[in-house]
Amino acid sequence: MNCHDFELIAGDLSKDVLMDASLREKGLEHTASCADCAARLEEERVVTGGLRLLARVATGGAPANVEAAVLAALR
Amino acid sequence: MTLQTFSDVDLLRLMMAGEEDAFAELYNRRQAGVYKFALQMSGSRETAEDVTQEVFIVLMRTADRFDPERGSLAAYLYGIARNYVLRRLEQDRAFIPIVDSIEEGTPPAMIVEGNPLDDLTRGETIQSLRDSILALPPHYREVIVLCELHEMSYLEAASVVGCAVGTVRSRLHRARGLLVERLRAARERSSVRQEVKPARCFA
Repeated sequence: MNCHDFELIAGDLSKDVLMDASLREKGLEHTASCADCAARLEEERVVTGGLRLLARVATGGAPANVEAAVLAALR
Repeated sequence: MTLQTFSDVDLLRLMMAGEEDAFAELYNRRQAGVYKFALQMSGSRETAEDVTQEVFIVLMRTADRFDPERGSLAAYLYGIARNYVLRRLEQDRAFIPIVDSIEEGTPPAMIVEGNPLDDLTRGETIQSLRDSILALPPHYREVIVLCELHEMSYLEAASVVGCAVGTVRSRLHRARGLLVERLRAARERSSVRQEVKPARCFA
């Protein structure tokens, strides 16, 4: 695997999603011999972890005045 | 049988027959997702409130346009929200910083107790990531919000955006690449600031 091929799978690798086992193995092997791609994988993992945290950030839903306005429009 | 057990489509049918309670249930079920999407896309609570209101008013006026064969009601609502958000972004580029809290249901592994440095680093990364998402061009931002923050499938996201699944995949790939670049730049700026030692002032 070369750096270009690795770049295409770096996101999936960082997410630990289901992917072709041999592709995954080749990707990880590549990072063992390429410092740039190893660093790229780490950066992708930071993005993945951050996005997963952001997905759990509570926004609380729309305030009650929005529901009141919507229901008033219905009547 | 209570309204909570009804499907979205059944509630919509009841709503179209004049059942206000069915609409209220639909609103309660779907408003949080729509609001969150609009907030994450715009960074503005005011915009998110306006968009949420518009989405449900549009739904009640054009409910007959919804076709379950073409996707879920949730995707339909997100699609309406998307159109309004993009319109607002065109009109008003200013945004208000968001102050949020982590949901109570956050898995313990995500909160490292007794390690303030890790918490600080995580907090900075999250803020940096949030800023980076808001700085993305809208067509990249929306796939990040839909697929990564709302955990939609590529197919659902394609139905919301109105494009091919392959387009969602390629935009997501590019968007993640941009986020990596922006976070790298932010980290480099931060490390340069830490390396600069303040000069002693003898005045």
